[in-house]
Amino acid sequence: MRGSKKVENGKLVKVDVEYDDVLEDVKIHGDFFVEPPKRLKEIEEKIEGLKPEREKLIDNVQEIDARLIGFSEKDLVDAIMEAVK
Amino acid sequence: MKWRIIKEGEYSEAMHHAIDEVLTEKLDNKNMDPALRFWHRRNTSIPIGRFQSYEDELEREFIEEHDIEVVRRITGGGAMFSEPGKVITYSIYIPKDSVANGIEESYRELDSFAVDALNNLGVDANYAPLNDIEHSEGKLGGAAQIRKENAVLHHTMMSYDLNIRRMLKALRIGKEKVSDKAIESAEKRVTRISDHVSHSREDVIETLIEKFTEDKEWEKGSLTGEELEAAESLVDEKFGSKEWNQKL
Repeated sequence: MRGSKKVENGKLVKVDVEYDDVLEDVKIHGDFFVEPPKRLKEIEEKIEGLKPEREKLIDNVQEIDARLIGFSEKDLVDAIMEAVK
Repeated sequence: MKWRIIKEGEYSEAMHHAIDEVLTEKLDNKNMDPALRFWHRRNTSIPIGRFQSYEDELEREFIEEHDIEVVRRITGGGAMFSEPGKVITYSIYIPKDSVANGIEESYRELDSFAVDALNNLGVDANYAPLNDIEHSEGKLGGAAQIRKENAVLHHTMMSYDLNIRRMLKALRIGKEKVSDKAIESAEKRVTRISDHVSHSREDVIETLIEKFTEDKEWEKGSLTGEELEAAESLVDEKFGSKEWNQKL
């Protein structure tokens, strides 16, 4: 399933995910930046196994110490929520 | 700290990215002075952003048919299209403490010499956050950065005389199902330096170098044998491999 969010004055965040009760196989991609780069995979892994609940997802993403450039945790979760709709 | 200005060297796309990684790491380990390097390509290529999906962003058939070299950058950002002699790309390898901490600020600062140089040549360019060099008629170029512990790699590509139609055939621009129609048209609005002035690519590069070096201590230089060797290994291990380039 695919969800995406075009951030105003920012970048395009795309999420591919499998959803069957919980989120699986999360792939986040787009023309944004993440510092350091390896954190993106950590965010994907943190989300896997979680239910698509907005606030909980935002909290989990925020726990990863990453600098998101061109998008925010909320934008990412917006894309996820769109994917599972 | 004396800047090394490298303005020669024609390589494949993979080799250019390998050189970027080698020099950035070298600076990060404090084993070299900062540098500015201009790229010359020998074939048509597409550098894609570190976090982009190969399948999603590119027209595979067109790319394979035309033997276009696709390489994943170590920096984020979007996919660019490049042909030999048709774009101007430079890399800046700079100590982190010389760069603004704010991301937006740092992009603007690091490319301000280029915007000024273009303005002096008669190209009405300006900077648009986050990382775009814009003209009233469209996007001229864009930049990408990666920050290590002690060093920053900032590289920028501008269209000199790019074949925009070919670019739109190779890149899946605007095919994303997003409700904002403004994106599609904006991304198709690309303009080139040669649309506005008649200076040669070499002249533009000279002007960029003059502007960049006017407030710095610098010397003309080239890549060392050691650096080239390290880059060649990195092409084998990484930038020439399907695993790295097509992993997403």
